[in-house]
Amino acid sequence: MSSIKIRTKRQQGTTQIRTLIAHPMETGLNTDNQNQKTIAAHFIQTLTVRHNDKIILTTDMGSGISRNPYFSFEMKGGEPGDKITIQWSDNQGNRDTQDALIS
Amino acid sequence: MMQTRRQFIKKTLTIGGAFWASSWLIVKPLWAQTETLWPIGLFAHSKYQAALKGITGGQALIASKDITMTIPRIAENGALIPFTLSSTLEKAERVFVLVKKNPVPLVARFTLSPQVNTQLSARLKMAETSKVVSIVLANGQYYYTDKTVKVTLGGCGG
Repeated sequence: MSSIKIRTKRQQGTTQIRTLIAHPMETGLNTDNQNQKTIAAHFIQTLTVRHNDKIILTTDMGSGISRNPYFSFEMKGGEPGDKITIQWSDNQGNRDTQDALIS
Repeated sequence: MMQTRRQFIKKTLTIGGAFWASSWLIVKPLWAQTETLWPIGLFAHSKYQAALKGITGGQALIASKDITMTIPRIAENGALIPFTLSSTLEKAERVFVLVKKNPVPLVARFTLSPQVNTQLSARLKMAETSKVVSIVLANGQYYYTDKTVKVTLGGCGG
């Protein structure tokens, strides 16, 4: 099960891309209530959006993005069947990729 | 102007020395040691002014009415603040989102290709009541708009 959900919606001349990623986005400043230890920082650093394997947008983020990040972008054009790929990588070296076709 | 050999060597040594010194002075935090293109330097600042300088390199910001930021005026939960930005500025290359009083003021940096419109949504975290500043880099100029968001952690609606 991928951690990335992608929804696309074609509008007049543009395509809206919405994504929801399951990720804790820990800042490294919070303490665990159980054992009073600091929870290690764990957050997504880069998110890349590709349209037919061409990068159209990258986002570099810190821990200031909410848990389970949501983003929406607007792309010019976009035809049914075009491939949208979203990829993220976090500060602990994890990464995930998901494809979606524009409907 | 012609450079003498002596001047050239002097310059090279000065510049090289500065690079060498800076690489030693910067202590990298743990999360900075992974190999990514993530701009470590920009996110390393804990003060707003320093973060801003890291972004613009000291260039002045221009207030712009062409950037529209939609964000709640009062937020009951600082952990989840919906944020939308749209701009009609031509040739926007980058969008920066900063929260002035966050432990790390820079929240996100969006790098836009010409194929996308400046129309973004995200969800931010805020530590306390603060100004949210959006900066759009277009045509080599930094345009900004800001808005204050009141965070009422107690949920009393302040």
